[in-house]
Amino acid sequence: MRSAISTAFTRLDFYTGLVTILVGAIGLLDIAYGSWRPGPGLGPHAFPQLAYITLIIAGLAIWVDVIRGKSDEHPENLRAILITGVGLVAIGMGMFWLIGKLGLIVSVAATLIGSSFLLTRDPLRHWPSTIVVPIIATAVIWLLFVQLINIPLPRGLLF
Amino acid sequence: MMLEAFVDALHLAFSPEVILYVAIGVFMGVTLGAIPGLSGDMAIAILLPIVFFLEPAAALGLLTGIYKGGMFGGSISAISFGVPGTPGSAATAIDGYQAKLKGYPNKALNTALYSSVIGDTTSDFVLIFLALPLAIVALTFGPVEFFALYAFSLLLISALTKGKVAKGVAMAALGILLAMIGRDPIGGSLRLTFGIPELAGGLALIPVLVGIFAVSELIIQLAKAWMERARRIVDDTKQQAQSLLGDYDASKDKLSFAEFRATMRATWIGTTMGTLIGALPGAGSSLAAFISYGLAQRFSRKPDEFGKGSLEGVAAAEAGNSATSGSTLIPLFAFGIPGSATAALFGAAFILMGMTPGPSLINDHTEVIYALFLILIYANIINLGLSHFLLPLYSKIAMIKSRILLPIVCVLAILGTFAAGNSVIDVWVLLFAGLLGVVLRIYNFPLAPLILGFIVAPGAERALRQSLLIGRGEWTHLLSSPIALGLYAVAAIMIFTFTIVMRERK
Repeated sequence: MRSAISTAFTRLDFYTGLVTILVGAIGLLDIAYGSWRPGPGLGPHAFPQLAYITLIIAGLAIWVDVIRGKSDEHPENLRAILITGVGLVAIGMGMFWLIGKLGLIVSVAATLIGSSFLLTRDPLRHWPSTIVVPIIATAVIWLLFVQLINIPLPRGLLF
Repeated sequence: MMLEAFVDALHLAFSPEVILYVAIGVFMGVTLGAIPGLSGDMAIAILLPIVFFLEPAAALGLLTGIYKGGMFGGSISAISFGVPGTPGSAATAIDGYQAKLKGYPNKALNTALYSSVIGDTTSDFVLIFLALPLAIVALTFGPVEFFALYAFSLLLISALTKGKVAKGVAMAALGILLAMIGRDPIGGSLRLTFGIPELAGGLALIPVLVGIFAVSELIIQLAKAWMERARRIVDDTKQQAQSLLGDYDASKDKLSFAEFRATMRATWIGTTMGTLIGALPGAGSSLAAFISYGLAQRFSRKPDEFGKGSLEGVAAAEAGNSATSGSTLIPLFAFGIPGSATAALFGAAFILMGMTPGPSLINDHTEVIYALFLILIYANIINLGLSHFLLPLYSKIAMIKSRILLPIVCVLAILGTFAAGNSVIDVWVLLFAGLLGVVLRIYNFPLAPLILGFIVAPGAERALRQSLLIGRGEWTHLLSSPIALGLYAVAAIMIFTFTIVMRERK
């Protein structure tokens, strides 16, 4: 039992359980000491409180699983996936900002060509997939959003 | 009255525009389902904002087509390359890929297609005949029964998703908390907005759904493409495919009627299990396919051939997978509770079109829902026809490198989300929901309970608070209804039974 508990610290799910418990505990503290207004019946805090308590119980159950030897493996390529995620958020917001400045066609084409260059080794040699496909895709997106269903998008200086 | 609605539904469902959208949807669904890393569900999520701008029947036709096509599409890459295009087709890969290696991929693909269509169509009929009576029963429910129903769904979906009970429960709680952001529906006070005034209206459904489901998967696939892993998988499978071409004799690889008939028992086992399991919240197509596969092997005359390219194995797995498609919509139509990720996406589509999923859905929008029932049936025929003739093309489409399509799908998700709400905040929510989805995926948290929690939380909170107001604050009032007691008991029995079944499966 003692060795099971000492090895638990090396398991991934020990930390996922810990985060789950912490989120639940912080939420309960917020309800206890934060600026929650009372309301009719149970009040507006009751359902979130139930969810926070559930989170704490779930976190404890994850710990029980860890002590019983059940834990997921450490994720592979974690850094690459997280960098891609943050990169996508940055590119997405950047593209959206560019649409307001340069217009839909230029911004979308630039984003798609840029992304294809990032994802392809020797992108100029693969020009059909890194340049032609993004330009065709931009045309299709423009047709779909602007011409076919007339969706209101921010207008830019160019087109 | 009912006949009149049916005639109107016939006009809606069989208008050339709707038929065209169904066919486009089927083609898109099969194509995306066939490419590893993309799926029909992802396509539905990405296109959700766009359906807002279509007529309801056309929009539902497009989504239904994608759904049906995606179900079968996943089996194409499973059989052609041994890489399941969707989680539900993982069981199909066991025998399908072995059949391919033994030189009869066409037989396996056709078996998968026919069993998929049989399972899917049967499941649709069950939906059509069960949804209305259940909805009539649900109309008699009060807040106590509805709270029991919401609790029943959350318990089942948390407990059954991939067998990770604790993580499933945590995700359901997180989904509930995300839904609590914004104004309290009863008192009107602000909750969990962290001082951001734009969050006062709460998180919109579309950016949360698309972000959690589609953007998170896109980020992971983009990371893989960046590391050239995806390319290596496709290259390996290409090499394997090419190495087989030398021995391959196309004239011997045609499914005969006798061979088709020999798979019928397995197909019906898959159809029955898939339809039953699909109706349970959270059980999912993957579980249905594996249970069907196991049962078909147990009742087969040639159980030793399973795992070695058995067409019965392909038929059982694919019928089990596809037979969940209609029945998974039963809880949505009858009670307004989505039992699966796909049902949640359909529920979101209904909400976008101004239709509230639940017992009054059929009554309030009879023509559109009847039209959807008709579309569900004839989409299978379109799927059968299109896929039968385009199978060789689809196998080639499955080789398209996902790195070419991923950036385009990302741009579609961002523009579509902005268009649906005309709000920049929605784009922020989409991207951050995507990041949250990535973190949850890589730490193996199931996403379906989170989405169900997010969708049912407002209704569940209303039902709980109303119940306690009626019961003057007594929690025992929640157990005052025999229906509610029955639902809690059934949930407990089902969780117990499925825990044992899953242990056996391991």
